[in-house]
Amino acid sequence: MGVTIRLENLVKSFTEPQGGQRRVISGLNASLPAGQTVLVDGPSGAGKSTLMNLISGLMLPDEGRVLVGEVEVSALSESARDAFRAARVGYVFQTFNLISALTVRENLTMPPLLSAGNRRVSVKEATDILESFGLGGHLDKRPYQLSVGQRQRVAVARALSQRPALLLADEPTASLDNDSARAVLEAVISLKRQGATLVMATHDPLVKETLAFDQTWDLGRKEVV
Amino acid sequence: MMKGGKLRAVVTLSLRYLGSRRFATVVSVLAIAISLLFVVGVGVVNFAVKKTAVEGSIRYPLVVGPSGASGVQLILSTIFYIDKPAGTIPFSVYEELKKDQRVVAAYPVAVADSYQNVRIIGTDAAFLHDLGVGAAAGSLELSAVDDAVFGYRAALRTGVKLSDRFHGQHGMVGAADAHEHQELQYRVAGVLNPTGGPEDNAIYTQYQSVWHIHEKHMASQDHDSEHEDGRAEHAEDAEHAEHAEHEGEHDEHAQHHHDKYMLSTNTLTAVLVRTANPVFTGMLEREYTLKEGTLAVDTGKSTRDFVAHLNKGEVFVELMSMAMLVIAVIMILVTLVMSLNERRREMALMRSLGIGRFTISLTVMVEALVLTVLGVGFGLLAGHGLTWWLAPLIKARAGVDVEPFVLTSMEAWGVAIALLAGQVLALVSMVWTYRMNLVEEIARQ
Repeated sequence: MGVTIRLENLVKSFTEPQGGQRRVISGLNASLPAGQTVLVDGPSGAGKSTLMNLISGLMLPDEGRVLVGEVEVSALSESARDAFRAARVGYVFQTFNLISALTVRENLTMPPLLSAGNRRVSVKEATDILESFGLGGHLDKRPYQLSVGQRQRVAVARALSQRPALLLADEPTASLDNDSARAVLEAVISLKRQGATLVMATHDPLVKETLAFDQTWDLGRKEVV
Repeated sequence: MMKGGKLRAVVTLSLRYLGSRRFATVVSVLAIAISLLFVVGVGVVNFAVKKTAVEGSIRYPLVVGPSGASGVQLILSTIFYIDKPAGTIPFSVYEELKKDQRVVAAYPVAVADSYQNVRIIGTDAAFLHDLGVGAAAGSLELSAVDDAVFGYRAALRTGVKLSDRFHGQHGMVGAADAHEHQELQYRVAGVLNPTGGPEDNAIYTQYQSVWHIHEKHMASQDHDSEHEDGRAEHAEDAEHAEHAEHEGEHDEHAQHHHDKYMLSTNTLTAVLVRTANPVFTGMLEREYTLKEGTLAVDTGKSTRDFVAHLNKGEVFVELMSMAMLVIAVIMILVTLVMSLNERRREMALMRSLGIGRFTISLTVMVEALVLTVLGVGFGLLAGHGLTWWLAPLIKARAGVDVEPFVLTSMEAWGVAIALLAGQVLALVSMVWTYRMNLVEEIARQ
């Protein structure tokens, strides 16, 4: 189910608001076998989110290559990268994970209908998954009616419903209390058990203790361990 | 090409977004609906006014009145009773026309006074019978000098009943020279059935009664002034009345005391003429226009001039209505762009879920289209509904028979402009969304 990730001489710079370029990722080389987990570490501004965006194909590198499985993501067209994300990538952010106009259940069933290559999720399947996450009583509620922890669980449930080969999680527990964070972690672990490759950026000690990461990519020290 | 399931999902998501910001949605729809309501209302009423004008002019192809007036003024005052009379003509003009072989029917019109702001028109019973609607109450014969027949709405408006008595007032209420005529007390002798025309808002009496009142009035004024000047010790009303019966003497008298608008014995405001054919209408028009003191007007032509005159005002109202519509669309654009900025993060999220830039833009486009179509739909419903609801009131107040469900060219233009503006709005929103840098938004998270 999982996919390998290979990053070759990856370079990414941004234009500063005052002008000039700031190099965020400079010549990164890394490789992660299928089904393994990696902790993306480093201080704020080190390029953790940028790296995730490069892996998912939301951004393109200035130099170097991103390979996910056999696919060279950095060489794909925009629509092909959209289809790639829809088919193979699950994404969980720190906040703003749900579409506010849709109900909890629709947040699982609707996005696949709007993208090419996504796995369709039936209403029954969405209901079953959400119930397994303890969200059975909130199926028809809108995101603003849920707590922050509940919203994060819905986001993980949506990622799980797609059975992604690769899960990218960017500080998924940062705004949660311990109980909510544990619930989200359990969901992530259940996805890992299914064999997905997991790339996670986090500062949360609970996550670092709970998940046995196979690798750490420290962008601050520019180390791959 | 987008598949049906995906298109359905796009429409569903658009509707969900519209539903999630109900207030903005309702305001946007109302903005277009109110603008279009205005367009529909103005169009329907304009259409009715023109139709009433044209229909009113068909009955009498020729009006003969005093020279010096404009054709439109003559028609407005003698057929529609909505303008001041332009002067007077000798009664002999009516007698000549009546005898003319080319004339099928001729009716005298003496526009003089009013009662509760309803015009009193001096004419004869033949005119009332010619309307062809019959009496709703009483008789239309105008057999006595004080008999008055009310138009249907005039009777409703003034609340008179048969045999009620009233005095006419010189001029309309509020006019500088307005005063009550005590010389003759009218008696309500009959009420016309509705004609759907200006006759509904008028009161008809014998033309002789108009002469009678003004002769009496002039005599009493003459009497008063003689007392004031001290130039005559005795001036009996009866003597003056008798004096006024002599036409030659009367003319001198009238010139001395009254302006050209004052009706006196043996004068009329106009004569309404029906000819045997349009050729005779043309002939008579030329003859009576060349004749000293008279003007003959082809009512069809003058009505067209009148309608063209109305059109000048209508163009302004149309432009205003269209401007309102465009402002409404701009308002929706602003609301939509504000909502897009609020939704940047969600749209970025959608991109991370693999939803394409085009699909996201399409949802925004559908939102704009739905707002416009709903606005147009509600505007049409409200516009026609409101004119349907107000039709009886417009008829009662203005004598205009509104057809609430008629489709006017103005309405067609309004709908076309609204839909076109909606399309432009949708495209602008779509391009705006398409060009948004949503990845930057994700990076910001």
